[in-house]
Formats: sequence, structure tokens, C-alpha cells
Amino acid sequence: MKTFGEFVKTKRIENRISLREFCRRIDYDASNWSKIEREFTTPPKDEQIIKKIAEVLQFRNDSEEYSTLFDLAAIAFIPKNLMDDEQLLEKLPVFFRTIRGEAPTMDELKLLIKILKEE
Amino acid sequence: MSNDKIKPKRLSNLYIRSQADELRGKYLSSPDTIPVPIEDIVEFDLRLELIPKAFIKQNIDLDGFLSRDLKTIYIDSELMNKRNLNRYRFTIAHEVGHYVLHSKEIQESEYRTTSEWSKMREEMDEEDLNWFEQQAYEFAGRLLVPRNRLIEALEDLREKIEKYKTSYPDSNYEIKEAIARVICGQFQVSPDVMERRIRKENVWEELNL
Repeated sequence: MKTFGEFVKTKRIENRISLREFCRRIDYDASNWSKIEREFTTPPKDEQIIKKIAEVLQFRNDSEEYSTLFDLAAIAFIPKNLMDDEQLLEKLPVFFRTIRGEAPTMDELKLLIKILKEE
Repeated sequence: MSNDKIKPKRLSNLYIRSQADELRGKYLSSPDTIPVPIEDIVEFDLRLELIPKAFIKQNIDLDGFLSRDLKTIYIDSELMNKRNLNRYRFTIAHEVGHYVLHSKEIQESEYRTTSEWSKMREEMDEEDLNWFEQQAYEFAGRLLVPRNRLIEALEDLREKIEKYKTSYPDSNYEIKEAIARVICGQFQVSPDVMERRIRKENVWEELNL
């Protein structure tokens, strides 16, 4: 699974937006942003900045990329011991779809509950 | 650190300039586009990573440097400020100069950290260091100031230049400086870089100005 930093960097490069220009558009310090892209620090917590990033990268609100951006930003704050659990990691997209109001299948939900109970 | 010192080849300006022109030609749909999109060339075409880093200037008295694996240009984060745009662009172009002209020498050296790089530069033979840096400066200048566009910019000002020269016949030095200030904005380089290009490219004489 890609990290938030890798994901945004890939999309930034695909859109041919230079680091300096990207930071100017999202109004973010380039030095700190570079650390985010390289996973030296966590993504911005401010939802407005994530929205701004989505706008600069031209993600539509209903697109898969838009959801991925927000999901990856949230995942970055999950404690490391949980992130080491590959089974749980696999189910994170289900969890995020659920909290966005997109119903998971019954099997997905059962499995997620089982994993969380075991934790 | 005795065997790993960089010994740059003595490259001619003709060769260096051809390399700069070639790079523009390779990556720009219109090779004489100005301002030259140097960040785009670096990030999207050469696929080098640009990493702003605090206190490079303060710690090793450099604006930036190229990593030994030739994958990253570290640049003093202060240069990312809008007021330093010209210097930022020139620093990147200068490191691209090292990338194009000195990649073999850099890869064969043994520095790993910023301080080791700085120490290695200090230990370099003065003449070698001078060649190493001057070649990258020449490359950067030519890369950011395509000769054809420089000629065009001067031609556009021919009338003004001639009028000024008639009024002040002994002012050749000052007028080049003043003209450099007028046209440098189009190229997004500093007046100093512009003035050096006017002198080094011999365009003034070629245009009979």
C-alpha cells in the first residue's frame, strides 16, 4: 500500500507540478512538505489543507483518488503496532468506506469485527 | 581522503555550451523557451529529487549540492522563498551542470554526508575546484540564457542602446550592466548572470552594438 507522501508525490509528478509550485499553491512550507513526501513526518492534520491538495491535483470529490487521499492521510496516524498487522491493514479500505457511508459487504464487516476483537 | 578527490577534465566552453543546448533541445518542445523551466527539467525529465534542506548555506557555505548517487539535488530551503527565485533557479541549473558534466567524477568520489562533501571540496586542488565550479557556472548560464533569445532581447533594445551610446560614448561598461538589468527578468536570472552572458557570448560585438 502506498503512503500518503508517495501517493501525493506520484500524482504531483504526473500533473507536472514542481515541488515549489505545489507548495505555493497549497500554501505550505516546501521544506516541511518535502519531509511529508519522504515520510519523515506525518501528513497535515488540517482537513482544509488535504482539500486544497485534492483541488490542486484536480481530484473530483466523488473520485477514488479523492477518497484515497483522505484515507491515506488518516492511516498515517494509526499506531504503528496496528499498522504491522497485515490482516488489519488489508481491511482498512473497508473501514474507511464504512465511515464514509459506503456499505461494506456482510463478509467484509464480519472479518473486520473479528480482527478488531482479536486486537 | 587522498585518492578520492575530484579531478575534473578541462572542458572547453564550446563543449559545455553544446551540452547545455543539447539538454534544452532534448527536453523542451521549443528549446529556446524562456524562462527555461529548469525545475520541470529536473523533476519530470531527469527525474532528480529536489530536497530543500535548512542551513546548507550556513553549515557548508553552499547554496546546494548534488548527491553522490546522482539522484538528489539538495538545496538550501531559504532559496525556496519567492524573493530568491533567480538564485534558486541558477543553483538548480548549476547542479544540473555537475550532473551532466561531472557525473563520473562525483560517483567515483567517496563522500557520503554534507560535511564530508564540504571537507572534500576543501581538500581539492584549488585549480581543480575552480574548473569544477566554473564549468558548472558556464553550463548553468548557457542553460538558462539561450543564445538566440539573448540576441533577440538585445536586438529589441538596439535603438535605445545606440541612442545611449551616442549620448555617452565612453559608457560601454555601464550600458551592458544597465541592459542586463532590463532584460534579466525575461530569463528569470539575476542581473549579474545576465551581464556575464552578454560578455561571455560576445553578442555585443557580433551585433555591432
